[in-house]
Amino acid sequence: MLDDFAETMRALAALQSRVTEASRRSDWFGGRTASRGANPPINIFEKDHDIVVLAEIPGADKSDFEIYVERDVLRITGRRATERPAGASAHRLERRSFDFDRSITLPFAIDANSVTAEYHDGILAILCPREKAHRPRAVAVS
Amino acid sequence: MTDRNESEGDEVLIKQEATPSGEKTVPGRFYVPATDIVETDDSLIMIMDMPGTSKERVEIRLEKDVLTIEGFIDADAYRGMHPVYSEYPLGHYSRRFALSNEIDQDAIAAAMHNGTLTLTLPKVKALQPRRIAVT
Repeated sequence: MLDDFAETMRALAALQSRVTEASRRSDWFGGRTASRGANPPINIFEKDHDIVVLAEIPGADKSDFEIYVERDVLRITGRRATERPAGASAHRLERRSFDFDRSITLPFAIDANSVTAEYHDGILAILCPREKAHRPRAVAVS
Repeated sequence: MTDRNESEGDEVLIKQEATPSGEKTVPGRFYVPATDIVETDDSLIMIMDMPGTSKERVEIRLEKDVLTIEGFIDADAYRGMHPVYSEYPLGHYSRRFALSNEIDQDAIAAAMHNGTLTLTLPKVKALQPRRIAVT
């Protein structure tokens, strides 16, 4: 159990460095206009030949989000509202409410019919499969 | 839950890295969870944003009036995934608060929902404010 934990933590440290590395590269979007610097901040991962767009939006509800896909543009809209009990007085308010509407132009077309989204533990995850014509094909050497 | 905190413009949300208090026993970076602390007549309520953690991955310790909250993210969830673009760092969460002894420390309750931790810290009964009626 402890070994598993240590292994997981090492995997995490490695993941953190790879994510930091990715944050220094800005060429993934190619010449397209990436809307860098809008809320919510996103991370993009490649999984097999598809991509996964992640955003940390804690304390929302999945019904707060609307996601649209058109060719190579992924649009995420929604809100995160912070609430406090009625009549409570505040000592510290650091959490922010925000509405967002962010479009991300990806470097390839997405198969709109097979896009799926999940919301778990405050993270919105959108799996975007490439459109079939844009998937890499194995070429046999004859 | 009715009063809504108003948004403070369109500033991009940036995670604050935690200043280590003592040596951490696990590798990896820690971030400070954004926290609201509000007070009602009978308790203090702390609401903390810890996206990526679940109730199984949160540790709450109370030692000598110091409340320590740590939340761990799950690296396994990223297995087989290769980061290509990043705007926010991944990491665990850590934060400490000094509690006054007005808190009934045995009655602290915690709930985790969609990456948000809510801690309810009941005040010691004798110290709850009394409403004095003017006669």
